[in-house]
Amino acid sequence: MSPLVEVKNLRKYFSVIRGFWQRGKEYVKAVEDVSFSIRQGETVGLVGESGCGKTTIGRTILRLIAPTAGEVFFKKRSLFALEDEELRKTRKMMGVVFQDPYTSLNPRMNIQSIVGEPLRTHSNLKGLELQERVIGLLGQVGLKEDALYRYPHEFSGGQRQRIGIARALAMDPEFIVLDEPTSALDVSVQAQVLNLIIELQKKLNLTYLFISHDLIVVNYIADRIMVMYLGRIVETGPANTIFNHPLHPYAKALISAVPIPDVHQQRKEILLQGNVPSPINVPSGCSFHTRCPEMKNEICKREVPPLKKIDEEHYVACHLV
Amino acid sequence: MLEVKELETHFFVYEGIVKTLNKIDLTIYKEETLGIVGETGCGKSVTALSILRLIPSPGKIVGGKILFEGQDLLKKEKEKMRKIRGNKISMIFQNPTSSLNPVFTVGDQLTAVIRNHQKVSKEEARKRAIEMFKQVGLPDPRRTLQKYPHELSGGMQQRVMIAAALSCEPSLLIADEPTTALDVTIQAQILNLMEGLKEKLKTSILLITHNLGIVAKICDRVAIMYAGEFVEEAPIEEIFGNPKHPYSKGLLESIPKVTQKGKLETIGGTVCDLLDPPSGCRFHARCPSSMEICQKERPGQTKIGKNHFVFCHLYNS
Repeated sequence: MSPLVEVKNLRKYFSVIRGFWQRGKEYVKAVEDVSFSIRQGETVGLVGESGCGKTTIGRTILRLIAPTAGEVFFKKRSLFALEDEELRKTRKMMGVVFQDPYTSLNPRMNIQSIVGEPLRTHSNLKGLELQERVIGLLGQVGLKEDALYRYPHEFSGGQRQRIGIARALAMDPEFIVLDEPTSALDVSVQAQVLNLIIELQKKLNLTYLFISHDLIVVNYIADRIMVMYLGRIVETGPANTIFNHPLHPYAKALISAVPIPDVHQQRKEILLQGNVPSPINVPSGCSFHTRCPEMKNEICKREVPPLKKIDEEHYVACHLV
Repeated sequence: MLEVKELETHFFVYEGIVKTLNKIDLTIYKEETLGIVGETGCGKSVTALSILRLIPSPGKIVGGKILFEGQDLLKKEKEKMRKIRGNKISMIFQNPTSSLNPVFTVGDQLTAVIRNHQKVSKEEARKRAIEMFKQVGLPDPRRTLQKYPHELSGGMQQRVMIAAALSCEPSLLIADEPTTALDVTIQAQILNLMEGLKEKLKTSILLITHNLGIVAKICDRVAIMYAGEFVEEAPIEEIFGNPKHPYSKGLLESIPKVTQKGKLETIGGTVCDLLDPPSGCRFHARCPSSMEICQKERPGQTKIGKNHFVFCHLYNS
């Protein structure tokens, strides 16, 4: 199948302002030379620790923030080359659900205006027609009609996330970026939202980029997983392979550190020393070499390892593999 | 070592009385790690704060006993309570960034804790602080002592908090979601550190968390809480292998499994309003195997096995 979304050599640097004279001299390298593609109907999980660039990738793909370099193709069209009008048309096909259902809904708007806002922007629906469509959307995410004139504060976290999903579905998108959609929720509510997300994917043939730091959730929902460290993808492959037999030393440590909710399946954890280095001063060569428990060669300090093909769809960026 | 009996904590708010803790019983033994698990708002943190008598207004402990080393903490005078906090029972909070004072160096804060509880000279306290920093694995303790909280990462801040909490060698450490704000690799470091120090200092730990993975990893026993009441108490092998209470079962089934990818089981309905809790068992409205008696009577404790107790009418025969 042809890829729906294709990302090529994407870079995003944020300049750090430290006084007038130092302006533009230092950069946070949030995303560094990232390439991947997502096929139609697939769920790709993006995992990594805080500050590794997960959210930045999600937002750059949607062109919510401009990239420093690289390209993103959506349905074979370069997203960054589009003019305003064309961009608006393309954006209709993409949706986004944000992490925090408490801050991503405007407290002064009622549910009808929140869910209806994309419809008012992109379509000609008005009045009753618009309302009917909003009711339909709310029904899809398991909310009732009486929610229309209520405000976000009247809903629980799980319900708010449903409202966020309804808003993302408003324009019948093909591709949705889910940025930590269940991190703010309790496990029993998380289960409801995950079920909803999977159900909608089957029904509407959606393609997901699922960003999360919770590896258990990603392993559950994703077909493929990409592991990020300091702005780079260090390993990518089918969810089962990554979760059970990771090859990159960082992926190994990350996955071994996940506490598994079962006494009989405890794994031996690999403890990493120290903290993630600052993304302003990324270590030379392989950015993981400062903490890598397996590092042997000098080459790790000098050269950035490329993503090497190990197996069908399984790629690892490590000199040792 | 610590025994909580029929503890009741209520919050007196404008809308009425929120019965956050409804006569709960809890026992912590020497040198064990007990986990309290439950969802947001079920009263986990209130339990911890009640033990230390740190319930903020408008909350109040209205009944019950907290026996610590044979004495009722609820009858202690304020001064004596202060001597127990930090000295015999200490606490680590969820968010290390907001529990450290930003305008003092971490060294100042740690020596203040030590000098508050033990009669030692400044020099002695400083030595102890350096020793504690070494124990919790902070690099270059002498220099770290002079740093301000914002100069340290989240994981390092939590290490400082642990150093402060353990500096007076308490017999009970209450950890309220100690790793929730941290990344998994840092979480693994901190949990490992807590386990190591527990063995070394022979401390008991009361660990409050919503993550059942952490419970499986480091706890000996676990108590599951729902809407201000304990519903089940068991050793961890029992809770994961043989959960009894319908809520415990639902909670365990709603976690995505590592090996299989079927549809997730969910618990129907939403958590009850603690302002107006349902009669009888507080879980009855959401319970798949609810019976008539559940609506009327609060279930008592039923013993299932060694150290395994459940509060449910289903097992009341």
